[in-house]
Amino acid sequence: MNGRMTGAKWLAGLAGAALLCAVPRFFSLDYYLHMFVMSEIYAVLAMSLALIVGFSGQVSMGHAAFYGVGAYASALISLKSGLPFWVTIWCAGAVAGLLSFVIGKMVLRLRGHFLAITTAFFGVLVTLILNNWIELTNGPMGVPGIPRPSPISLPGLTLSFETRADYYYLGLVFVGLVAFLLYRLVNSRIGNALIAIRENEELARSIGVDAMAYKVFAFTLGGALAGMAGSFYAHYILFISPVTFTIAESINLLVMIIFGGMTTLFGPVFGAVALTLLPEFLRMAGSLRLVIYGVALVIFIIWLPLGVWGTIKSKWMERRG
Amino acid sequence: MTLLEARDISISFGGLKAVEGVDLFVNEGEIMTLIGPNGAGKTTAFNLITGFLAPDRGTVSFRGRDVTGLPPHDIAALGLVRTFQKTNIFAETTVEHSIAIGFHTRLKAGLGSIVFGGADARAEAREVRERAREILEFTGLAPWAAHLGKNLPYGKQRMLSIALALAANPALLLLDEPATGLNPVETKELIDIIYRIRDERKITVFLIEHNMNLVISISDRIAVLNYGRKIAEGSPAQVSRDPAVIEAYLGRGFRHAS
Repeated sequence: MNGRMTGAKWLAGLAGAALLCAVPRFFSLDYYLHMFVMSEIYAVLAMSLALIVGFSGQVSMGHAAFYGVGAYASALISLKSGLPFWVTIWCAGAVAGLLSFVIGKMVLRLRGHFLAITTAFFGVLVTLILNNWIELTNGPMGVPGIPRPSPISLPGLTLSFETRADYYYLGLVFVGLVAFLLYRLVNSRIGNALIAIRENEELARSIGVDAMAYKVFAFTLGGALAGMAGSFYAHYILFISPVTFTIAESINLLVMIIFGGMTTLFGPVFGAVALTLLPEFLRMAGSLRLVIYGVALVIFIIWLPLGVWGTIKSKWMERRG
Repeated sequence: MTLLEARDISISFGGLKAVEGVDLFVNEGEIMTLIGPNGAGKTTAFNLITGFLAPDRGTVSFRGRDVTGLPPHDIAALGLVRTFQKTNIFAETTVEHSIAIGFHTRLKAGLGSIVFGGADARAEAREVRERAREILEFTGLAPWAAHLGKNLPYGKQRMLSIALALAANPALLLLDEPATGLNPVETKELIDIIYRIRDERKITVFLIEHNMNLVISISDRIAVLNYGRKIAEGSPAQVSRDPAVIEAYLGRGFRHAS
């Protein structure tokens, strides 16, 4: 129940980390490594969205907007000022966080479908701005020539970011840090306040939870983390354009957390990895790919509303008593 | 000492004067009850006192402080905590977790301490577990601690909503029809816990209730609302003899059997 780590858990964690670090040794093909790096980016995006939708219960259909704003902020700042990625990723978090704070203040008074539609609207608005503010964003032509992160050398390890494996390792650290931050948060008084709002906002207010403030907090932090994921993406792909950050991507992120289960932290990671890799495996099914994908989704929403990981966890908790 | 004082509180919904010029006060350490026929404005009065509605007119002061128009969470943080007429619980969290959530206003650990596992955040978490355990024992919910709120029997759900309110550290507890739907055994347990809340935890209780046996037996004072106005106030004996009260409940022309 509590967040204490037992010896066995530490050991399992270490083994898992070692396994994850060994991945590039077994999958040296660029194609595989690219899928894994994208899985990492989606893992961060899915966790940040789960904070808003899963833990606080506020449906956002515009999350890709913050992803995009972070990507553009980081890319443009580094291109215009020459600042390294290690600085601009924080700028991306700050810009996306500020934007999500302002939007959150406006829209989080709304609930349910109204909130979903309004956040979707803001998502579309951001894409429109990215497409049409050509002086700043270069419009639909996108932003090319984004610099790679400057090399870092630690004792015994040098990451030059010339290979995908280097990005993979950086992504592991990124996912790990975000997971740690959110794990501590959702298991604290702050997480409890968010869960209270999700479960019953009226009751939450009656026991002293400032619902609006906590909703805005979750929305802002979620937006900021998505912005940082955007920065990682921009300096990995080295080219960004508005088509990456459309409402389709927002819905894709929602699908990931629905699939994995959004009321845990591992669920979104699981969903992100599974749904980044699965469509690739489904390629062998040819034109049936999207049909299979769609049917699987409907099945999930109807029969596994807690998602894959959420269902496993709740069954396990039941068996323990 | 007067703990809560509402003066001239009024609110209209469209043309309906739901609560009109009502004065209410609650003394520290008493059990006060608000009664009245359905639609008399009792729950609306609770909503006005706890900030869920802002009055059109009038003031509410709690422990000498003007709380009129404050949002509900600020009023709760000051020690004025209410339950709801409908069963209002956290359905998908365990009873133990729900009560831990209830401690919200007492917790102060900062963001940095929470993220980096600071000593104060850990001490707070430990204290919450201990105090939640105590509330579980006090309310008799200990055997249900690991169950989800939605899986409790109805009577236990009602008790959970009281336990949650207790976790929020009230000085004055407002209970909105706590006995609704309870069987006689559960009603006895409720009466017992209301007394113990007052006597052992030193919490003043202000309730809305329809169960007249319960009202007459536990109330120190009763106020009666009808059509949004206060029509009587006093001891249970005074109120139950009051002609205006009898008329409100039974209609004009009724003669008390002598």
